[in-house]
Amino acid sequence: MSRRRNDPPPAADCSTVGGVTVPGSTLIDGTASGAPSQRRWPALELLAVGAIIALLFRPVLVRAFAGPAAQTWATMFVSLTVQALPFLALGVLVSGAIAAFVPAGSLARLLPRRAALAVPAAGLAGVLVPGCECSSVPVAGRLVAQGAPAPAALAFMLAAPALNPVVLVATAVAFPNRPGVVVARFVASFLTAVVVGLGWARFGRAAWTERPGAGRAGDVDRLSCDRAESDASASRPRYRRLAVFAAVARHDFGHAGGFLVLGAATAATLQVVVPRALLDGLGGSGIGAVLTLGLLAVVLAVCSEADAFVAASVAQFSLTARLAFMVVGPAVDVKLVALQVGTFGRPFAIRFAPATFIVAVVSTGIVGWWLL
Amino acid sequence: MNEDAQAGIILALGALALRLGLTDAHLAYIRPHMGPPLAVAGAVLVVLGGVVLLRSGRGRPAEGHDHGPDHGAASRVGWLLVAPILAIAVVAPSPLGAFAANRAPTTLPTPTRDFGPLPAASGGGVDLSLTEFVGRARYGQGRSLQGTPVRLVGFVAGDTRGGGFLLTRFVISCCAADARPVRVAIRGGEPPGPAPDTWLEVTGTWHPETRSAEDSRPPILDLTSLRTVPAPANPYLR
Repeated sequence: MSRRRNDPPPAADCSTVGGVTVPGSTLIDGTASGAPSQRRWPALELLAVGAIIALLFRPVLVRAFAGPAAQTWATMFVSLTVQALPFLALGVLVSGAIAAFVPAGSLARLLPRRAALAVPAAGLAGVLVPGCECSSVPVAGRLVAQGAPAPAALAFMLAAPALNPVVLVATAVAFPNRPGVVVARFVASFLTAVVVGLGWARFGRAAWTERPGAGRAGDVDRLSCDRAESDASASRPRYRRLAVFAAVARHDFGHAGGFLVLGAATAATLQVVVPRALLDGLGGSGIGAVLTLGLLAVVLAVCSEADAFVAASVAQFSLTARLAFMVVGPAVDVKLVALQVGTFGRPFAIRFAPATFIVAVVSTGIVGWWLL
Repeated sequence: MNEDAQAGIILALGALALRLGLTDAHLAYIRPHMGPPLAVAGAVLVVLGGVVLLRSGRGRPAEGHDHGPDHGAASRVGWLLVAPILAIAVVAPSPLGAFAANRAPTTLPTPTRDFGPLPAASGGGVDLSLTEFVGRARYGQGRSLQGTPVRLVGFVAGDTRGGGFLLTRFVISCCAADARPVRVAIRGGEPPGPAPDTWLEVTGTWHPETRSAEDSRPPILDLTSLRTVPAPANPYLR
């Protein structure tokens, strides 16, 4: 992929890239750009019509959501989306900046060549970055697209939301007088990130993380082409980079945002449908409790800065089970899986999510037995 | 989905986020300190979407040509962003209330220590938040509450038929999806009790009893008087 990074003239860039990265799209690209008279699909006008229809049907929508269950669902859905929005915006800005200003290949050179060193290093880098899982997924996707080794990028993706200073302080506040919980959380989450990263280096296939159209380098270049074609000023490198930055950020926001909505809707549905009062009857310790709270973390999709407080409040469970809630949650939940499907594709997510869940539960068990 | 449509959706969502972040409306969904970041994110999205629309409005050539099947699939998912736009602008759901509280499991508030003396009483009672009252009753064994009339604000949940009810507030740490209810059982009301979701200011005294540390049932308040109050701007406690 790095063979084409010498900033050739935009026009040449476009035709090459369209042909190289996505077999089959050449033809479509060719027809589209070859037919400048093609009528633009009036999407904006459709949106305006949609807005008017929404206003007209406002009473219907409001009545449909008047019941307490639907209202609670809508509150959860809006809350999850609105809470994630600043982090997602931050994530796509970083992603755009990486695409526009970091030369492809330089990341690969920066990291140690051996996965055994690169993965823990990337995991430790995640410790320093405050942010929630919603920003780390698009950033990791962009890192892979820019040529960073996938195992290291995945370790970063798992470590950043679980281990950053904000989360660790929140955990200490939620479990006063129990500093062991903070240490256990750190160790178990770091272990999860490193084991998953190394496992991916050993067993993963490049094909699983490569998905045309979902943020690969070719995609970035096609986006930059859009800008380059339309903007005369884009021929100047600085403007071209800014245009790439904005186009990638917009593309990633539309993409990751769509999947975030899917994940938020799923989590809201599960929150309303699965009676949380079931928890009252459950509880205790042992493997069953660890699995129960691990699965609950997947279903509830609570953000990593809040999960310690939720874990602290279900005191009828053992400390190890509550640790599972905090280790599994930032690594795999319904919202995250949706984002990962969007960023890396379905073949990736159906392998990565179960593997991560198992590794997280096992490392929780080991660390809980050892430290708590 | 072509680029103009995507930009239009991003602009609309950004404008809504900006408005939510700048007004009190976000308090129904997230913690107050997340308001400014939400507004900033909204402004960023407004700019990101706005520049595209400005440019195509100025008659620059449209680049809405389809990039092939994969690109189409990638963009189509962006239409889902219409859902939160409609939910925020049209449905504008209210804060969590009795329905969510009645389904939530019994939880314990974060342990607190070192309860000082109660604040000074005013108008025949001491104003306490529900979390502070529950904390004092549970972790301070109620010593500081003994015999003192207190005033609590919350909404009505639980079974109200017998005249008693659960005075409730939600505690959130991030957003409403992680809400945990804090409850006080109110005793001594006349049936029928107040309607669920009514916001009340309740005056009464703590009902003395000794509990084990693991007992998660809500503490009891013997009711003296109550009056309806408007819902507070921030319905959640920390």
